[in-house]
Amino acid sequence: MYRFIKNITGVQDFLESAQQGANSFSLPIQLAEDSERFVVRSLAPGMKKENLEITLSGQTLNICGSIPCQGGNFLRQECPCGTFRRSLELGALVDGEAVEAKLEAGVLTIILPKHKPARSSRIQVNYGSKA
Amino acid sequence: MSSSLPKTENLGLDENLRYTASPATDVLETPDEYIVTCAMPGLDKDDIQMKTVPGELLLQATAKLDPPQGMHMHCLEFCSVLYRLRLPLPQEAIVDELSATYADGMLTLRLPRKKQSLVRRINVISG
Repeated sequence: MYRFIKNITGVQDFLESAQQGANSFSLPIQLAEDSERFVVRSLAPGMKKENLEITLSGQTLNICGSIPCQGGNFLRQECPCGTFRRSLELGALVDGEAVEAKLEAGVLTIILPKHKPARSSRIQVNYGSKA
Repeated sequence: MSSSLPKTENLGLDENLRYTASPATDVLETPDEYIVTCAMPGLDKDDIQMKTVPGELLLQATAKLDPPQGMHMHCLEFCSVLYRLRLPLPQEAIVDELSATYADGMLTLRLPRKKQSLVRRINVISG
């Protein structure tokens, strides 16, 4: 339940963004799960893939990066810029080698196949020679 | 835990239920032009409808951002949205030369400015 609440609210990421200063923001997230995989989507308009870093640490997915802020005489300035960071507790191990990430039209999609444990096998017990 | 969470088809996120939002917008003024940038992720450029009326730019587009169907949702902080923007245009903008590009989820409009007429000093000659 804690994981669910944390992912829903992003409280920790929000507080960390606030501590980092005005030039930081948090990404809105969709996190979906089925028996085979997790699907994470995020909105990152203006993001270039070279400024994006995605890491997997155990069951935690970390997304961080930056969107450069422009200077000049702005009559109106609302678009997010600066640094961002978002951490998601997935609650299950994933196959790190099979993770796919795609950035298209400012939408980041990450597909994380779940780690499949080795199939159980029956172990035959043999009698020793002293039986 | 997953079994207690609603599946996406139960959330009613279909084509008839969209949020309407004004996209985050920057307006940058330079000596030669106005550069308007709108954060509108998840679009195809052909989905963007735009027109100008006297003194205003009207813009509309639908981003299909519904979550994958049939999956358990842990976190849902955005979904499909109807972007709408009504932007006042500066009098100096040359609307006929408006150009637009869409890349990385950002719509960029460039509006050249009318050249300021040069101020000419007129000498008054005594009669």
